[in-house]
Amino acid sequence: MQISDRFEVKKHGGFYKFFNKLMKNAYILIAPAMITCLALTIFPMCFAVYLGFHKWDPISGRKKLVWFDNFRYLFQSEDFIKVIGNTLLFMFFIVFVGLLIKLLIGIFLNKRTPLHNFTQTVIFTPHIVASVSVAIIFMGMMAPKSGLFNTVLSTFGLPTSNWYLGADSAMASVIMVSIWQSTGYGVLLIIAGLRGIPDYIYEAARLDRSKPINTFFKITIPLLSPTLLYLLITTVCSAFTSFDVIKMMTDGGPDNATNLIAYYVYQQGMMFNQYGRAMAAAVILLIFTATLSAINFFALDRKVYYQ
Amino acid sequence: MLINLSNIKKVYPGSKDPVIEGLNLAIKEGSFTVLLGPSGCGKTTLLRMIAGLESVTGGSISLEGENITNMEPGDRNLAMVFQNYAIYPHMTVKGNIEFGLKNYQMTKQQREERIKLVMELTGLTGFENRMPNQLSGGQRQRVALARAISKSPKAFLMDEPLSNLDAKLRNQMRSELIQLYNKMGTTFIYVTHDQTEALTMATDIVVMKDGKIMQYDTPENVYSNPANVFVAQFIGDPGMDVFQTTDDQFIGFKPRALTTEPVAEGVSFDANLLTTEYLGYDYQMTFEVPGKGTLVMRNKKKMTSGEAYRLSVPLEDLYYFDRDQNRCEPFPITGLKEVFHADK
Ligand SMILES: Nc1ncnc2c1ncn2[C@@H]1O[C@H](COP(=O)(O)OP(=O)(O)OP(=O)(O)O)[C@@H](O)[C@H]1O
Ligand SMILES: [Mg+2]
Repeated sequence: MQISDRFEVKKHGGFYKFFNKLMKNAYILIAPAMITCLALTIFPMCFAVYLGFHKWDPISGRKKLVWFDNFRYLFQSEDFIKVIGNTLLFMFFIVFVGLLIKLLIGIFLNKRTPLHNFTQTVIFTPHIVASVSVAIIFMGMMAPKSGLFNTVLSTFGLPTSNWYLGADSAMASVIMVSIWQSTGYGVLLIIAGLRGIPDYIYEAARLDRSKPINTFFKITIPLLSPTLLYLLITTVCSAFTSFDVIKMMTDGGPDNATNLIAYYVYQQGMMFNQYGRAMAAAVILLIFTATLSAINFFALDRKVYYQ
Repeated sequence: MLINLSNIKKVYPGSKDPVIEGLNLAIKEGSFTVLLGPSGCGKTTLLRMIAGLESVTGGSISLEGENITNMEPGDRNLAMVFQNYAIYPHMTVKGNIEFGLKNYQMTKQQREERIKLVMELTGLTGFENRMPNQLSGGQRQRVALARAISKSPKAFLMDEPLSNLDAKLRNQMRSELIQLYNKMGTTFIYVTHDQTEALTMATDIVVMKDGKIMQYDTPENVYSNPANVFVAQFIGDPGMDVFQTTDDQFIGFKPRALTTEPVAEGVSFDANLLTTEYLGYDYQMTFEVPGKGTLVMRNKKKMTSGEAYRLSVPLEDLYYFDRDQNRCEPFPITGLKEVFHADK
């Protein structure tokens, strides 16, 4: 009785009581991280939503609440619909074709010879080169008159292309460059994932008479699924927010052929001074990425095996 | 003979020296053959070559007379139980077993029946839908066993299957394995470096050293009739004490054969007791034989350290080895030069 009395914090009241109660609350402990996160991401996000409902001129500082006018404008604009279409097409190729390429290269390079190790390092370098440089290099190589690509193609008597300058080839060119740039990082992750699968699992499969194709789909892919899911989610997001390659190579052209939603936001805001519309488009972009990530995550999480 | 290994040679890529060379071994049908030897002697290598997981550099392997040296592992009709179980972590217990069965010509119903049977046999009934990470080490071991049994192979290959289990579970699984063996009558080829496991389970023991077979015999013979100094010192807990005689032959005796009583016929020598260890059933004494080395004695009587004793071995407890350390006929002992003990 006596002892418990002495240690009864409640009786002291005041600061101790407050402090103890406070410390039981986990949110207090993560408050520093939360506040940073709020200030740097949640606030700008809310601000974007807020601006999306306004007509705003930052120079004069005039702001007018217009409710859904900006959104209505966007959905009635043929350009914006085209931009959405472009973005989905772009995403589809970056995600699926890109992932397939990464997987194939990863499997091919997953050997421990010096040559393979060297190639692994080389293939990773695009990731540490600035997108701007990558874009410039490709613009040089894709130049219709004197570029490396057309020179090689014509040497072999193959049809040449206008690459990023042609209305029908610009999108393909931009996709190519984006995939090329992100391949190294993905390959590296896939190789790390493959190395995480122990040899004896494959030996057990061989003893189980499993053919290589069967082993690939029933053993390798499931055991690689956490890596693949991570790549899928990050690639979807990066496809939606792709900007620098577009800005450098095509400026969304020709005739909006490569205009993607992130670039469109930039165009509306910085070039046409339509901040309200820009932010409305950004909100739509946000809804897209959030939904797709959520779908990815919840739908695939059940099928993904985490060790 | 079920499996015949002839003139087997193995050189790992990247290294010059063979791990195994000129090895011949015939494994009897229905036997429980244990490959026993110190770490690094090539037991795993040999087993993996039989399984087909490791290429054979030279020589040939045949199974029931058919040459399987270069056959795919899955086509050999052998099942393997790995040391770390190697069960598929993303499949249920049932899935683990069914994965292999699907590659055999079997109907769904046949598979279900087979799975039910092996589940009962390994005591896994009720665990069919568990994931491997929801199982204990012993249960995972059973899954690996069930998977092996389900294919009704011509032989089971097991590489230290019990070494990841704690002592108690190991004893239990050991007796379950023996029961399984008795029930099925299939050939077992079992790798271990634990001689207790070898002596208790085997019908035949292959004692190996540096990729060579030192003795291939019954557990009783390996224990009581060692073919050479290596086996004499390797088998038994502890192994034999071995003296080199002054004409470079060897005599050996079991630590339990040593006595402080005078013997009518035998060898006797003076020794100082260094340490006494209590082992429960009896004591283990380590002696120094002045100028010749140390040896070990086992006795029920406790002896005080630091004192000098006169130790003797009766003649009938002596083992004789020739200059090449192979077992030989008794010879007159000229004098004792040096003593070897395996632990040293
Ligand atoms: N993949 C490999 N490449 C090169 N050398 C190897 C390889 N695997 C094993 N060795 C060598 O071959 C020899 C025999 O190895 P092995 O694994 O067969 O021994 P073991 O008898 O099973 O030993 P343990 O009881 O420790 O498991 C060792 O010297 C080892 O270093
Ligand atoms: Mg081994």
